[in-house]
Amino acid sequence: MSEQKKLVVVNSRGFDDERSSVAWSIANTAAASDMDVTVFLVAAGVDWVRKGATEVARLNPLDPSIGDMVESFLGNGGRILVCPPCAKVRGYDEDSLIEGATIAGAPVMLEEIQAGGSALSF
Amino acid sequence: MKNETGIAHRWDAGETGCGHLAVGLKRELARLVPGQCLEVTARNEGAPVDVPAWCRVTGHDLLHAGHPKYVIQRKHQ
Repeated sequence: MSEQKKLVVVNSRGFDDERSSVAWSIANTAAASDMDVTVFLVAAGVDWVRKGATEVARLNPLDPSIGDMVESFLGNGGRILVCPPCAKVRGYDEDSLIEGATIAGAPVMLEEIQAGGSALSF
Repeated sequence: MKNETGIAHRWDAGETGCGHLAVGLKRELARLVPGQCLEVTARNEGAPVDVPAWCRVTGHDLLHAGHPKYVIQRKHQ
């Protein structure tokens, strides 16, 4: 039987890097496997939840669109944290981000690790 | 007893693989009530190992695996 395991996926890659799509793919798999998953977006990874950016972009033709991946992740109970200075330096505030993305920093993410979570970093 | 439930729903996953297959399995199983069975056709070459692994992690019963056909029984919770 499975107990709910915590996973943190740190994604620092933006739309110019296929690895960010892999990060979201793994986060989605974990959320679809009943794990308690937090995606922590830092640096260029913040663009994944910028309003308007998620509708059309697709990094790998075999992956769903960015919007679909984010929506599916949230729909399966995933949590999205956005590094505050990484958002601010890009001129983004909470209103610039899609519903479900929260501006919160490393302390919040580290709480998940302290509570027994594992971390994957991209 | 497990095999007497029949197939309540069928899903053709086509070539969907890796994490996207897992997302689809969760979505399609959510359409069933506990105890009902889903028949999945998954042609992706990772499916023979990915589908059983997903079932082990989530606790759903894999009743049949004969690539590309898989039968999964939604777990009782």
